[in-house]
Amino acid sequence: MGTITGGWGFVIAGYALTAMVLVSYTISLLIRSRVRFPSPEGEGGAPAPGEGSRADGGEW
Amino acid sequence: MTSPRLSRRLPFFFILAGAALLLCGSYIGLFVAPPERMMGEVQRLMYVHVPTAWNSMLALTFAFIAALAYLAGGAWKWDARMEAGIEVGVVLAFLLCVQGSIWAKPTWGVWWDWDPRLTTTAVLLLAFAGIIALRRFVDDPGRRATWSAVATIIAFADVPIVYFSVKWWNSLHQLQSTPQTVSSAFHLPLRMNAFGILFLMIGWIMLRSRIAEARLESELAPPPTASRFRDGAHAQLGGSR
Repeated sequence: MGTITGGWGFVIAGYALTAMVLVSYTISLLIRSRVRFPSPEGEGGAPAPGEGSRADGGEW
Repeated sequence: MTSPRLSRRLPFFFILAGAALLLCGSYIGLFVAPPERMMGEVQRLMYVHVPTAWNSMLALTFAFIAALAYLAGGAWKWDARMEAGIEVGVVLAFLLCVQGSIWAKPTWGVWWDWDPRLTTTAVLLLAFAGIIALRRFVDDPGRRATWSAVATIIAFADVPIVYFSVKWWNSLHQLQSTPQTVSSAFHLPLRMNAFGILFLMIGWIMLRSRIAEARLESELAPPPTASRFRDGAHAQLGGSR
């Protein structure tokens, strides 16, 4: 069995795809972590994660 | 006890550390490590494929532990952590399948083969993607948490099957990558990328848990006075179903 030649195209494709998925998922998490969820009472929504509780002003 | 500011920033430290390790490990894997004797340059895909596989299974194992913890104690924070573990595990399992496909074409001559390792991994991906879909369809937080915790425990049975499939059955896929089965010249980039994706995974799970907690708090919010969300102390998410 000989060595596989010309594999760089597959290597570049694999690394590029990996980078694309890792970066886009990280960005999506960063964006989603800024979203405010509406509360049932409609009073401006729950705090964005990491910004403290709406009710008590405390940290999460 | 960590300060709130530190704990708020902790996911970003993990993500940055993971990205730095991944960049260094990938550089060494691509340009410093020697090509493999039989597969040539294509083997360099191992430095991202194998760490992705390990961490995908770790994330799903975390989801399994969170599911058990939720069913045992009923704390909402474990439901949020389970949701995070499942989503991160599914993202990594999807990436794993695509990377494997790209590696399979030049080495096996096909993009996909229904061999035991690939089939059990596809089942794993579909099962946990199904649990994400289930969570979208159930509005009641209590039912959603219980049903998805039970489904997670059932689906997790496939994780050890995926891992041992190459030993139990006659598989086209190579044996598990360990220091004994991988040449020492390949260890450094493999370990760097394994820790890189591990740190990324931890940062992602922390961040994703916060998103799930925020949504849970908004769903469960009674009159604003009762809304608290701290370990052990919060009225809504700490301990009641």
